[in-house]
Amino acid sequence: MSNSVLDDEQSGFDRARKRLAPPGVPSNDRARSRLVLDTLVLHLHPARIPKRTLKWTYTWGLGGLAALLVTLLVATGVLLLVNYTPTAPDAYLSILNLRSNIWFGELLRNIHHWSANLLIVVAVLHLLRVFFTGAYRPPREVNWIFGVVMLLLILGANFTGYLLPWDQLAYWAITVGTSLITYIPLVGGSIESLLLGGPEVSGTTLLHFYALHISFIPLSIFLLMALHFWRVRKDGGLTIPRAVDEEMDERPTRVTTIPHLVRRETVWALAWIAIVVTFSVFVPAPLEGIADPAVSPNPAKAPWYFMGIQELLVHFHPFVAAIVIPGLALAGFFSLPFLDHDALHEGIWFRSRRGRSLGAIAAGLSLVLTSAWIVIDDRYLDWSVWLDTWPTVLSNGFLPLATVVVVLALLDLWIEKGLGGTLEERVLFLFTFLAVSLVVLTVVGVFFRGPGMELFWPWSMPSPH
Amino acid sequence: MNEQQIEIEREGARRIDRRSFLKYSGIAVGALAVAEIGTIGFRYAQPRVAEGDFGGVIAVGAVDDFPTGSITHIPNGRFYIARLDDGGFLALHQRCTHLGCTVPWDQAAGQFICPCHNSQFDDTGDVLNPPAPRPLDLFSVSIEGDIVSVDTGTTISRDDFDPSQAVYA
Amino acid sequence: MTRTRSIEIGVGLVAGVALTIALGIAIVDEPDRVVTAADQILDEQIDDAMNLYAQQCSVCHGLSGEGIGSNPPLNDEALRAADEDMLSKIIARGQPGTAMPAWSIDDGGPFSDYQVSELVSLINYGNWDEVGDRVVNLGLAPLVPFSAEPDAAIYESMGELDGGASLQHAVDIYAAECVACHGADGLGTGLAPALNDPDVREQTPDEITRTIELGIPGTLMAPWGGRLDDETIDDLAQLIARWEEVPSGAVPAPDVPIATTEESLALGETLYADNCSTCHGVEGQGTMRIPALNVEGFLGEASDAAIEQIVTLGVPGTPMPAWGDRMTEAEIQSVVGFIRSWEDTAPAVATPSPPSGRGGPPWARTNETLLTSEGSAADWRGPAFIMGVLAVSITLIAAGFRSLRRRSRVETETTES
Repeated sequence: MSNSVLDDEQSGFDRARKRLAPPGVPSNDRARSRLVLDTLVLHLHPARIPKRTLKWTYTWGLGGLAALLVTLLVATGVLLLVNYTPTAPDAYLSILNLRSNIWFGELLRNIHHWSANLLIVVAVLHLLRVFFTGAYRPPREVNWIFGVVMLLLILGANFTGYLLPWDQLAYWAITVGTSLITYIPLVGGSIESLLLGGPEVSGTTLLHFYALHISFIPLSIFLLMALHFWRVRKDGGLTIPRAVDEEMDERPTRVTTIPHLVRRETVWALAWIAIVVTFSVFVPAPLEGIADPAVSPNPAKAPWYFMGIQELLVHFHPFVAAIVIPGLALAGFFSLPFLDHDALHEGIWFRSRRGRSLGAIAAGLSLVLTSAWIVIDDRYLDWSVWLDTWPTVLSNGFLPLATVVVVLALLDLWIEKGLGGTLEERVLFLFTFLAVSLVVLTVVGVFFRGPGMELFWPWSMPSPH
Repeated sequence: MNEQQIEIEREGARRIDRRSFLKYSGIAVGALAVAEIGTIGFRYAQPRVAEGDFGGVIAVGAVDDFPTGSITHIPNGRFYIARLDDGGFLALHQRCTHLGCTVPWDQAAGQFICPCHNSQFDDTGDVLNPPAPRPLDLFSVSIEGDIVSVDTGTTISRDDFDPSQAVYA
Repeated sequence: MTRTRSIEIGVGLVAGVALTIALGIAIVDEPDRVVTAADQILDEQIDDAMNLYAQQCSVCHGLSGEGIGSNPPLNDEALRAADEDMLSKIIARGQPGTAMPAWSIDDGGPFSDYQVSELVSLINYGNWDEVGDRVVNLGLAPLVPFSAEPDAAIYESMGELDGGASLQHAVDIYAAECVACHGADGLGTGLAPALNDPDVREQTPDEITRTIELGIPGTLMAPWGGRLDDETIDDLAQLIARWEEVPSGAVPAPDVPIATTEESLALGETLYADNCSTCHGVEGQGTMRIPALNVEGFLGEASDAAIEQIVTLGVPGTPMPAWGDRMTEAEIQSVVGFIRSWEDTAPAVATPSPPSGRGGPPWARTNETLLTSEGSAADWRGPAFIMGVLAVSITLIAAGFRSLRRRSRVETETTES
């Protein structure tokens, strides 16, 4: 009687063990793959993948890298929770304590900080990769939308996390950042006070942001990650890379996921863990003095990933800069796969030779036009003074916006009529142009804006103290 | 077995050597990384104690601040300084050895009486009345010059009071 | 495939080794890093606390914590060992029965708990010489000393008033104890209200006596009942009630030299060179129509307070503008300190020189924003950056067009053939 129970237990245990770690490793790929068909890895990946999708310069492993960074962030974040007090001003004291009194507290904070910033870069690059290889078009349009929503959530996670150290940097970046919300018509003020839990950034805000940062946003990201991975498989895996003039291969050569893909992913993950950890060992995350509502730094800058918007604020009325333009951009992101839905040229970087040429022209034009426009608007254009009888939302908002839109429309017309561009090529041209514009705006905002949001050369920037 | 075959076999043996070398160095690097991450995790959880707080060394005062035959509570150190009739010092942990309640000194009775389960201890911490299984734990006392210091980092448990436990100026 | 495999395994090994090395460095370095970080945090806190001290504490506790009159010194070795809790409670809640008010926000003061803890760190670990320099550099050196010298002639004449002996006694005490806060002739300072004032005289002698005896809780006004005897307090009350009878100048403001540090002198020199030297000469020798400053006559006669006033308010009807709205108080004081530093070597007669041409209107000075910096400092970096951006864009555009044109030519050729 007791023996049979023991047998049952043993066989149950053996079953579980076989599932987790099959005994012995066969020598050929096929047998190996079959053995592990039931393993965890293959809940994520299919058993066999087209050999060409392994191509390193096609995906650059960006999606997997983003997932790795989320994992690193969760691991370090959970550890940091142990030594963090989400009340003002104790939050700041707990960061000081983490720096000077907890073994490796600073290291964990650095890893968390740098991973979070790297995650934004990686997520944006991932989005660009998917756009420029045409991998967002039907049937992948739903997954594109999941991805864009996740990018917004990542920005939200970064922004809420930015406040948690409760230093001057955090306090004023969040004050500036949340003030933008008030320009949403009708409901802006209510949303802002809901988020802040009061009329200004306070201890209540800290608690709100803390709750969002450690529960709501990460949970939403996990859910969307699961959906995102699931859709990748459902939509037939990755788009298959091919050379510019090559026809689409209907029956691509496949290799087993284990070990070919898994090994590559492991190595890539290991390399990036090494990079992030090494960087964090040597470069501490910034921390300024304790938050002081009485003293604003000059300039008070938003976190770097919102500096593109803050740079727009220098040029446009806040309603246009903070609401209309980002709203249009978001609408554009969501409608892209429905606008440009022909699966032609998928799997080719920049779609075609013409696409590459047009992309280069767009990037070059955007670089020079955006930079010139920033300086000219900053120095010479003064719409609200010239049209002082108009409301500033028109004179300094929609009117300059309209001129920008007209320039873009003329460029589009030129691509269509002058160069005979197809719909796909026009979308590519405009997307490239605007993406480079955003980069220029962000770089100018981060490195060229000094006290009073004046333009300075980075090397002659007056020190804020 | 011609020369070519021998060459192939040698080549194979070399390759296997290289492979096992890679394998073992991989395992070594992995083990080292795991050990390092383990160290960091373990140390992260370990408390670091500042001087003057419970868990560190606490200077409680000059020798003459404690009259002979007196018990002085040092709340932030979680202990009592017992100055015995012969001038010896003991630092008695305030924690009952039964289930961890804080034991108050009853001056009238001249005993420590635990409120939880009525364990009683004399002024050296020795058990007068169970259920406490052993005397109150000690912290090590050191006297440098005139200053009495107590190291609250480790508790010293004992079976009986012994005069050698006392520290003299 | 085997080649990729080798590369991947190689990269993995290198990454693993790099990771273990980085973690190893972190582990070895951690004990030192924690100590350095703690020191750095303490330094930052003390640095903050020095500013707080300069703004709020130095008026009573002195330039470098040496204490003024009955306000205790803080640069005391005994205080260094004082218990943090005790110090923070005294600062936060004040000391009843003294002029020390409660400073914590919870008790109506200006300091957060964190700022109180920073001040405690300053008292426990700070360097008071540095504190003195900081106070001077911020232009916050207490100008009014704790006591003054009554004017001898007026003092004599007061003896002839009704109850003159009491008034004389009161003026003695006022000059010794009260002038620091209530100012010369009882006209008030930023710290405390005027006493030589009709509103105050309307109070009954009893009310005035009670205020002196019991103080006003929550302000700098301490209860003096313990330190002055009843008779003295009565005399003081009488002085306050009858101040209009006392000739002005009885308790004059003393001439206090402006304190300087190396830093404030350097700042003063720069500010002088930028703003004053055009008219007053590079070495203060004066120019054709503008008076010399570096001359015995001027420096011997004008007190620091007088020079400060001239610089701040200007001299109406002359080219001397009011600098008070262009420079901060600290900057003006540094300039005055710099001018005063000439006194030892000042010639009896100045030799004016023609205007030097330095200084001038604000827009001509080296205020390096993006566009102005190009002209002023022959800086190659700005133009180089612009050329770089242009080169990159032109290369991109040109490359794009060339490949486009080549492609369309190929297409035309194929259609033609």
